[in-house]
Amino acid sequence: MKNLMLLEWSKLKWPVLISMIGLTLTVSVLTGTLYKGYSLEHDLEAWEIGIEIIVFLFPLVAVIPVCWLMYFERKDQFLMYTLPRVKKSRYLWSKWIVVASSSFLIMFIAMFIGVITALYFKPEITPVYGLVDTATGNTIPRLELQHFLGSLFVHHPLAYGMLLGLWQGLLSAIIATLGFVISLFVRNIFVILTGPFIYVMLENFILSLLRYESFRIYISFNPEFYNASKYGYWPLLFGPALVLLVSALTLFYFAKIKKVTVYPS
Amino acid sequence: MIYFQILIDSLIMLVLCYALAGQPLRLEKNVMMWFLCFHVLCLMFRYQVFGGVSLWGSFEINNYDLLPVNNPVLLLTLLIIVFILNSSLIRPMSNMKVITVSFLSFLIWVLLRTFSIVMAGLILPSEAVMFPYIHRAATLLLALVLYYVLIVKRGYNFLGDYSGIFTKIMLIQSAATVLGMMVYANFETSFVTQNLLLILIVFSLVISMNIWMIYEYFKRSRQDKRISAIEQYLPVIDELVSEVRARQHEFHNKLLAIHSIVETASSLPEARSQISAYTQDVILNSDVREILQLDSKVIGGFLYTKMKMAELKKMTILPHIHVRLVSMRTEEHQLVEILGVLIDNALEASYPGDTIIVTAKRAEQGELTEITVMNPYPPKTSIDFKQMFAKGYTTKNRSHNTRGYGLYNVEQIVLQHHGKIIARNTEYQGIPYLSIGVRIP
Repeated sequence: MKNLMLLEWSKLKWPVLISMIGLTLTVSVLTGTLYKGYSLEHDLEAWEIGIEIIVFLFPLVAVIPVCWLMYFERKDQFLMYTLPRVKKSRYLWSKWIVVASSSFLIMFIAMFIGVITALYFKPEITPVYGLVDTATGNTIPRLELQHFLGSLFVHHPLAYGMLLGLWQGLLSAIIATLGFVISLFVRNIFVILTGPFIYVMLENFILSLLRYESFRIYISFNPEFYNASKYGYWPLLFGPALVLLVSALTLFYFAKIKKVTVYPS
Repeated sequence: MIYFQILIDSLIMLVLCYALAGQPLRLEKNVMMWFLCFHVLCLMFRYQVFGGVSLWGSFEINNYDLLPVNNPVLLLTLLIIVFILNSSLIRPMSNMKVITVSFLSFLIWVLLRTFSIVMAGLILPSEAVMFPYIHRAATLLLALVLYYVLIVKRGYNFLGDYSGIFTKIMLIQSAATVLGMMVYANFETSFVTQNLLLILIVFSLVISMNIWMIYEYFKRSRQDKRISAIEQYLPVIDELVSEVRARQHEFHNKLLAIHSIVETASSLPEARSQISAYTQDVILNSDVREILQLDSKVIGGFLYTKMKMAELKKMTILPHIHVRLVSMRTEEHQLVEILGVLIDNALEASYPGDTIIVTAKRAEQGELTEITVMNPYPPKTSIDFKQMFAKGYTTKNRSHNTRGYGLYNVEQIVLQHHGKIIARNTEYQGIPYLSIGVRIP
């Protein structure tokens, strides 16, 4: 298994490294520049402003660098050559592990370096408080009161950034799993690479329409001002759980109902 | 009423995507699916829910005049959806062609829409209720004109399938620039009316660049085909000429021998019979002589190659070329393609011992040249003849997708030159022959 995974890594190495470096630079540059037009209370807010566009594009970032591999291996019938050497399930599992962990790595590294840029490299901000205390009439800090995990965000921003980076990496791996499942059965590269993004957009639209905004995977990816005391933490798990469910249903539909085979039959 | 705006927008994109992909629009499942998916998506993009818990809402009005979306996020989503629709429902297209066609559809959309807005602005104030409908109708009309030119008038062949990486990159780049401008303009129609000069300059540059690119590509492609034909067939005719020259020495010796036969023969009948017996294998094959007399060396070389191929199959090709081929308006490489398809078909339909006749002569009417290839074949009905020129029609193994394009391509070349197809049953030395040919300038 280890050798198989190393083999898969060698195939994905360059696209993953290039995407990681590109995304890290983008996040760092956006974190270091965009915040200047905003009134902030805390340095880490610069990172939240910088990653807004990445949050929107994260289903594409999670899938494009890694999910093309299966499409080409099916297209050029490379899979046939693996049959005499390795069991189908072992090959596919090792490939999924590398695809999901590469996607995790790209997102986590880029986001975490963005956090470090916001906290240590960017010039320190002058805090501007926007919340007015009705009793005194003075402006007071709002982040600790209103931000998701406010206390951790204000007092241990590095830990908050690292934990959220890990969570974002995990969500990225879950989305890559959906892309990987699609790539096992579909022969259209556009559906494989952009299908998860379209899914996330649809999920976002439908849940907004049904007034379940807090259940959206976008909120889960970047909770910012998500009110955990009001809704609890479990709605944040709904989005990723739904993606896993959709992946399982896709797998079931193609394998059992449509009877599509991964390997050429 | 806003629904009609969305309906027209969906129709415009459908017409543009199919026209630029070179696919005719027919009332079939894939086309309906394409339209429905795009239409539902546009409805979703413009849908906004009222306050409260009701799902009932309305359509947004502002900033949907330039594109069916009003922000960069939706623009990206729309572009991705068009990729998916074009790749799944318009077939067959390579992945790169899907990207090029999708970007180009957006580019042409913006160009036509901007032009329509400007035109509509000349007859109506932009605040008028009918303004969005008028410019949309004008865009649809322009898109239909484009469809007519590309699909009905077969202008798509001029685009050459967007071959060449340079063409693709430039087309995608132009589309990205124009879409970037739309994002910069915040999708506002007022941007067009307030910056007419800027829009005019940028779009003129984009259009001229694209026209220049397509023209350059077309010119280069013609040159490439010509050079390829020359490279392929010129050495053949040169070889034939060298062969004949080599035999000149032999002919000289034969002449001396004939001279001595005349000198030594005792009577005229004896000299005649001796000379006749001696020169029987000396005379140059008349078919080869005909080939050597052709003014186009490329076509000569090509015919000679085909004659040799026929010889291997124990068949004979008889060329009867009585026109100047070089002075024809049809390109040499196109003549080679026409002759190639017709002769290959004739060779495949013939049996050892058959004779195939290739004729080129001045047509009875007009300034057209008639090129025909005849091979022995039982008479066909007019319906059979019509079917032969349909795309994908073949009498050979159907398992391969590339079969059945030969006569279709010949028909395309003939249509391009406003010529005519000839297909008739005829007879040669009492045997029924099938004669397929063209009349071209």
